[in-house]
Amino acid sequence: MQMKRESWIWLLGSADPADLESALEELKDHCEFVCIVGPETGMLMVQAKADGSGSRFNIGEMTVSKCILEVKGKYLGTGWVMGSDLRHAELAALFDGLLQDPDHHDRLMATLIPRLEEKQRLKTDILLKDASDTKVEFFTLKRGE
Amino acid sequence: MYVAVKGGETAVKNSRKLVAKARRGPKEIPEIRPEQIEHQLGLAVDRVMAEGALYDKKAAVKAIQQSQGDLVEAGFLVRAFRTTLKRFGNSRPVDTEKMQVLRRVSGAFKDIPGGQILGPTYDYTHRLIEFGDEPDTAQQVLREPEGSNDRTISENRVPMTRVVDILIRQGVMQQGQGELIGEKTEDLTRQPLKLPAKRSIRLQAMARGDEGFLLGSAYSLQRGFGLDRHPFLGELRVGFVEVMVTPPELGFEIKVGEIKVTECFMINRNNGTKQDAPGFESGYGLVFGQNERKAMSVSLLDRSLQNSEKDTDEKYPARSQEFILSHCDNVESSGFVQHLKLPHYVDFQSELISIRSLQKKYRKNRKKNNAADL
Repeated sequence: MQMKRESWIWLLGSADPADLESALEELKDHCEFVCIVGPETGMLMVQAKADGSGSRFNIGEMTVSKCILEVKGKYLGTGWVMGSDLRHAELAALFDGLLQDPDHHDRLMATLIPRLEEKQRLKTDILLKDASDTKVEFFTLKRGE
Repeated sequence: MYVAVKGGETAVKNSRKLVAKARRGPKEIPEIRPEQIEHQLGLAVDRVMAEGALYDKKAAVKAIQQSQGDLVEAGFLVRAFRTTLKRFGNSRPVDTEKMQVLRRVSGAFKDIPGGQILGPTYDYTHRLIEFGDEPDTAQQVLREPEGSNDRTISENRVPMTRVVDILIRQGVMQQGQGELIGEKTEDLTRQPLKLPAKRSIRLQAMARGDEGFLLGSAYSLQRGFGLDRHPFLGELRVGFVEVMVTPPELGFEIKVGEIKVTECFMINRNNGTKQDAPGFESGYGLVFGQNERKAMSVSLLDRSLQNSEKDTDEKYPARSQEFILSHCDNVESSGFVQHLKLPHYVDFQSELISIRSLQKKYRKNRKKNNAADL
């Protein structure tokens, strides 16, 4: 299965950091990396469009943390996460780097990534089911009958 | 004018201690954990993120706890916190049409493509306080297994066409103006409010504005102070939208998060003028979190401020940009009203002197006039 890099970046960024920590323990071999940027916390201005499709406007900012690091002196890993968890940004960047490394790619694609996908899918399913349970059909009543 | 004073260090220190004591409450009662605030007071968290103009649950939760649940104070704390963070950039405009919908209703049409979804709402509750003699609904919900198999995902993936798009297709509403090429997006956090303000600034100001002020102002419109027709709720959506960004180091777009927002389209009737064809016009509101009262108020005000741009009728407060935009920020308004608590002793001395001399003059004049009358 081919997965685009942006897809795993999102999976790593939205993962439960505990899952990334345990995946790191599973790796066993020591992986060397050097932080290039951060991890640091900052903001992203969230924009939207007036009327959903018109001119751009700023709704407000959101806190994000990012990290760029180099794995084995070769692979640049990037991590972006919502919120201020610096360790999470670092882990996300590390795994992005490792996923680019042929020595780790296949194993991670077979272990960590499916686990994260499954969790993501469950979360979405629950939201969808909960919402669809409250779907209504409104009736208009004729008066005077 | 406020003149600086010195002194009172010990009293200030003790007052801080006292507020910490009040915040903590009796020692026998366990302290609230941040996760409890996040998950059990979610709507308060949403309001603080919206008015604090920063989508950050952790910061909003801590702010609520630190301010003993004073949400305006909590919003202020979040605003202060955001000034300490640097900005990495802008997101791509969120696509609300692709929103993962938790709730979506229309007051204008019964049958809308994708259906009406009530989601979590207090609208149909009895507003009876569950004092705990009977098992409350929260306990019942916990007993139900999450994601049980007997529930199936229905045709929920049906794309939800916007109600206003239906009206546009039917030719009773004009297509709004799209974004102009090279159009600059002004940002209220980078430059002070200048009047008249562009619509983008107005929508930003209201998105971070005080819920109570916006609600009251929108209500004034409905009561006849600026609106002479009944508005209709075209559509109200609550759900998650994707936040996409293109980090310079990557050069391609990635998804950084999903945030909960409330979007509202309000429809107003326009009988037309010599230049304008009769039809419907919409007002738009988009705010952080689930906050329907506020999104609806913003959309009513957005319409009224768009109208006052055309007819320059600012007779009513809710049709005046200055009235709405200069007064909707509760960090500013609360600061200005509450600064009156600070010592104004020197000021007031001069007021006293002035009043005393006026009184003296007044008495002298009255005596003179009385003497003349005799």
